[in-house]
Amino acid sequence: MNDMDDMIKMLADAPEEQRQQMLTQRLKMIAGQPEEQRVKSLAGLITAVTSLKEKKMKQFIATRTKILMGLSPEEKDAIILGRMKAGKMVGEKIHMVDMKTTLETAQQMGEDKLTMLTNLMKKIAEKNGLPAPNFGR
Amino acid sequence: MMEKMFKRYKEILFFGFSLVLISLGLGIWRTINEATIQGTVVEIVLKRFLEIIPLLGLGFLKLGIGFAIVIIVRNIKQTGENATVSFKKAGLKLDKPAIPFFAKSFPIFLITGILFELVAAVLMIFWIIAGINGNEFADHIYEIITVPIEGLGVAFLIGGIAFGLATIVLNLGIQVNELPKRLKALVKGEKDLEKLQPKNLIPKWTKIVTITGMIVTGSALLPVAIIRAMHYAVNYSPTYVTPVGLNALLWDTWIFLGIAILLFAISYWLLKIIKLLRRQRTQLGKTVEEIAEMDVPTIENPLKITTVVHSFASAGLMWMFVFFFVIATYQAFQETLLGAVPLKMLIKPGRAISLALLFVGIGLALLTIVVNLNLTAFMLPSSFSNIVNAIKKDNARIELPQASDKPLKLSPIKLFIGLIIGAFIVLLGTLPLAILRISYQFQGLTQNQLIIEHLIGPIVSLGVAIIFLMIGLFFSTIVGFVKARKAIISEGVESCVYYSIEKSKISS
Repeated sequence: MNDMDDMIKMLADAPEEQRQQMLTQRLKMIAGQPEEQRVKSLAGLITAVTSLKEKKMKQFIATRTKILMGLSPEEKDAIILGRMKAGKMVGEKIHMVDMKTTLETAQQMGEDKLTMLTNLMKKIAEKNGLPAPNFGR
Repeated sequence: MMEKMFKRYKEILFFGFSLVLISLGLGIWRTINEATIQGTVVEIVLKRFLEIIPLLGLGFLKLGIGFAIVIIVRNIKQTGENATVSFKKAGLKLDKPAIPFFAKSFPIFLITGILFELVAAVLMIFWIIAGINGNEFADHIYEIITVPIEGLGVAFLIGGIAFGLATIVLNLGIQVNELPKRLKALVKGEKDLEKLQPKNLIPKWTKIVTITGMIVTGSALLPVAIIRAMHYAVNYSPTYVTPVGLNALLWDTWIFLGIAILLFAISYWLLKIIKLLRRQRTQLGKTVEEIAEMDVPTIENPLKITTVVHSFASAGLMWMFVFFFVIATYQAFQETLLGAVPLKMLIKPGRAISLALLFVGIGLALLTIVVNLNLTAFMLPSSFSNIVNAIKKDNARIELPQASDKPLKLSPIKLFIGLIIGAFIVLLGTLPLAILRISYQFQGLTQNQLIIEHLIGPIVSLGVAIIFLMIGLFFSTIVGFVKARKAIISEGVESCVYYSIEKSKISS
């Protein structure tokens, strides 16, 4: 178990309110990191999240998606770009599990949120010369 | 190989706990079948087995706690090393602090401790064989030697835990002082920093008390056992009676006095850690205030339960001291002045009360540590975000978390309740039985009529095992926080250094 695994497990076991507060701070911190480090941090984060049991993973990703929606546009862009680049680092399987669960959660929050998220991903990919994101849908 | 062993601390904890549970099961079986097994090989084997195996189980529980502390120390150290590597990239001149002896050797203490306990377990087999063969001389010699070796194991294991905590104090202390200093130097572009003085971070008296506790615990039984064994060998006769001065009762209480001193020292190491964790937040707040030029909320007042830890630790130790002197007096006059007083019956409950007080104090200290770590985990990411933004010349600021109204809500209260249950079982295993024994003694009945007596050891061991298991799980929770802290500080410092280098590239 690496440090990120331990941290994610701890956050996953924490009550929702505490998890939300701590994860918000953590995502804001990651958003402010230099790109290389941000990609590494997010790769560690999604690897750790997808290694949780399904119920905990879904809960965690739901909290993360909710927080992501509430971040400032700059922070949101930084996280989504980092996440897309991290997808290559973690391998197809982990990437798709995380992506599908994130999109499912966004859909549960409302179709408009889902559209907003997918459009934002496409826009960021285009802007940064990345291949169009694979939503697995 | 050792690294893998350290990481398996949870398995070691549960293995130790299962040994105690097996002993409890056998103890109950022995009590139920007392009449049928009396004088048989089964009774001989069980008597000796139940004397050593629960203690071995407790030894593994202590080892599990010690190994969890090793993991905590390694992570805190790694945090400092990661940060140092990052700061050096920015040209900061940093020297490595000198590491004191205890910080290097506490894992060796733990290994030595469990080896002594294993030697005692091996001796137990010889003791069993001597009992089965009816070799009274060898049987007595093994009994005299086996238990003291256990005592040495206890001294090294609890001493190792105490010095492990001292190493946490040392590493945490260095980081609490150095991290803000280095961050400020990074922002101001200073390269030379004051030399580290790690020796000043270790409270001298707590260290002395720890060493004293180890000496008292370790010396309690071995020298006297050798003297007793020699005395017995020279004066051997079927009617041999141990002279009063060499009676195990006094020395048995002496070892408990040593354990109480060590637990008292542990309470104070934990209190020092609480102080440092709080100081870490205050210092970090001030650093953010200075570098990011923003208002930072004041942190909570120290938790009131911290004061209670002092009271429990002092009361527990005082009680053991008083008891020790009462026993010493009793020993001195046992067959003359106080012969009729059944003081002996009160020894086990007396010790149990003292240990229960000390453990409750330790539990409260651990509770406070987890609360402080939780609050630190809330504060660290936003603090670094603000410092990074200030270095980037980005005006965005993230509000730092407000002081918590109910910080105790963040504590693992279930573990503390478990610890209290353990303490209650310890008392239950001694106090009511002592009262029963005294009342029976006055009625002129012999101890044999109180077969339940055989359950005292396993029940007390179960209580202590629950306490140790809960303490181990407390440390396991702390491991999670310390790893999270490592990730956040390492990444945070790396970001600060990266943007600081970028900034200086642009300006030059």
